Amino acid sequence: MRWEVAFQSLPYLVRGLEGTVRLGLLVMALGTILGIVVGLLRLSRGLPYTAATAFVELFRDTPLLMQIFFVFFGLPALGIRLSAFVAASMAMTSFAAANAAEIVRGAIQSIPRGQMEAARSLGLSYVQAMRYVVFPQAIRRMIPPMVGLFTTLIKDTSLAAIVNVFELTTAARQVVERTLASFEVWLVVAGMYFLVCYPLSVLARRLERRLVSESP
Amino acid sequence: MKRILVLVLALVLAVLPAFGGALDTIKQRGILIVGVKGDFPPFGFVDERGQLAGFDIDLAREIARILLGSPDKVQLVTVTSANRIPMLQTAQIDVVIATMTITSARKQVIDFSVPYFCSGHLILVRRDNTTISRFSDLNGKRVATVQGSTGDRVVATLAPQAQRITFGQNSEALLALKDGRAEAFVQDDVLLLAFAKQDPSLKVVGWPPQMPGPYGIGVRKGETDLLGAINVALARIRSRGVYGKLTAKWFGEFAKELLPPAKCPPELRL
Amino acid sequence: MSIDPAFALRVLPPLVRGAALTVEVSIWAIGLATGVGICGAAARGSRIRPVRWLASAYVELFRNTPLLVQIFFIFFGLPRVGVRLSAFQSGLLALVLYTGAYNTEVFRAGLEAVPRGLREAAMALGLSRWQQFRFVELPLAARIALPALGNNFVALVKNSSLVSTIGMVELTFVARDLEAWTFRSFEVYGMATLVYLGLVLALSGALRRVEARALRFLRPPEAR
Repeated sequence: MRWEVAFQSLPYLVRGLEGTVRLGLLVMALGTILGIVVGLLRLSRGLPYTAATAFVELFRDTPLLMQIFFVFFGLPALGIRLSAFVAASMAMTSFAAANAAEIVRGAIQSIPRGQMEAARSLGLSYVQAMRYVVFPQAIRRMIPPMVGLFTTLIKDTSLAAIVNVFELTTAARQVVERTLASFEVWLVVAGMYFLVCYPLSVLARRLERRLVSESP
Repeated sequence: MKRILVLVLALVLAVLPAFGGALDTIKQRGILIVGVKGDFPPFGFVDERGQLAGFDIDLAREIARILLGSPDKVQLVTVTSANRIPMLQTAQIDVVIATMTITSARKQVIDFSVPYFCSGHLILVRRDNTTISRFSDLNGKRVATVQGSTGDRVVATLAPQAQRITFGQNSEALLALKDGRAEAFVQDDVLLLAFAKQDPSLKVVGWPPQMPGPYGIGVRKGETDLLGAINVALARIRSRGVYGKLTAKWFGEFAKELLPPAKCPPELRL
Repeated sequence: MSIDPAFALRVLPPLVRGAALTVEVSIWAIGLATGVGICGAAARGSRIRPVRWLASAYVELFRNTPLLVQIFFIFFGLPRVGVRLSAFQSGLLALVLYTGAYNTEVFRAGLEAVPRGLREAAMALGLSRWQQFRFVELPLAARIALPALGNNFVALVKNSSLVSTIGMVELTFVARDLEAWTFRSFEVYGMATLVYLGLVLALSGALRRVEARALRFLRPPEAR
């Protein structure tokens, strides 16, 4: 066993972890914003609904890896040039948004109809009712699955390694490349991901108990 | 909603690179962005300090010295055989100096400089292997190769009945060989000789190096100014003896086993 | 480079051949992962503390680490300690362990959704343990578990794209190989994406029909 090799590389791996967290946060932020928009559109009718549904189906029914490849390798054919980081971010953001949209939609639809009806009968428009009555209540229900989505995204940043974006899995591959200590390095790296994701999972479960069970 | 659309549009426009000749852009920027290998000793690899080093890296610095005045005006980006051309095409890098063999297929999508190295292909096997000594022996065996490399195509050409297992980087193919998942690993001669030197449990067979091809520096199609400048730089590097110094530094011990550049065809017909 | 639709059609046959391996490994993985999930849920509910703890540890470890890292560990790491599996076996094992962890939670949630009172009522009515399970617990648990299980299966098919990194010649691998030599990335990855879309939609449709039938089958017999 060559554990010293793995631990010597720890500083480099930690730099990779920083890349992972940065990518994860960026994608989560952008994906949530886009996801809220798409989720709301999924509650409408006609063209906005169809477009939103197509978006959600496309990005939830295809592998994220394929999405990254398509954006990074395929779009140049249309003259769109993007760096590996931007391409991976765009693909992951769309993926995150599609999943966030379903969380948003599910949360809003779980709010009893009576809330919307009461608001409308008080004279509020649909948009006002959504904005001041339904959506704020829905937010509490969205938070636990959103934390779960963030955990998933942190894990999925590992796919960006396949197009050489610098994050933890990329750093790990480089260390293995140099040292061939595959057993030790991958075990340590798995441990590093676990240290980030496990607390998030626990947080999500705790939030689920507190925020969702107490809803009216 | 409109504000979001404007922000997104601005973001997209911000990432599109400036148009105009690459050479001008490089001179304005003052830095040459070079795609190099990180898994290919002794051309491009990561040393103990986590720095990229190798023949290609030194060559890149010499070219930057001539084009921009200093060997430090270089930004190194690691690429793989599979993504070096897309990285070039999407202008993430200005040039590719990454053990890229000039092939007829690649010439259709990018432009190459004059050759700067000649490399044939050899076979790496475990020391106790007795069944493989020539490329034709690879038929029916499991052979590790790297995605997008000429070694992969060479196996398909010289041993069509071989079972190719393709990986993303050299270390993975090497591990597959060492772990017994493949009986052989086919790649450029210099790389395999470097691996065999580091690891006594492996040996190199398949002599003489097969299907030799020249390494060239890659630029985007149509960048004639940049290509011209690079070719001039390469000529100067040779005439000043710098090329000889680099070869001795990085291949010293293998020099006698390698093919002289004269033995290389102008391109590899793959 | 412009887009060539004729080329896109030409790459379809090799892509579909790759998809055959995707389907093969997915079917194996779905079957085995379901078994793992059931065992895991049983272990989670065990009265023996170490067994419960081990099952929890398994679930947390495999749900909080990336599948790609698990694949690399099994394929590149284990041989260093003497455990050498082929690419197919490694990919299959990783997919089974990863999806199995999620399935364990699904089955556990399903079983826990059965109200205690119902079970006690069944016992009071004189139903045997087996009858309790078959006619009371299973139908209720299935109603909750089956849709979630179906989601996990779809995720598994998408996750199978990751085994391309260890040399398994499935759909994603074939796509990358084609792209590395033809440089026609838009057509190759575009078609590969469509093939995946087809696989996922077909699987989703099949799952919906299976769910409907299973729920009908599990409905307790009418009182006579």
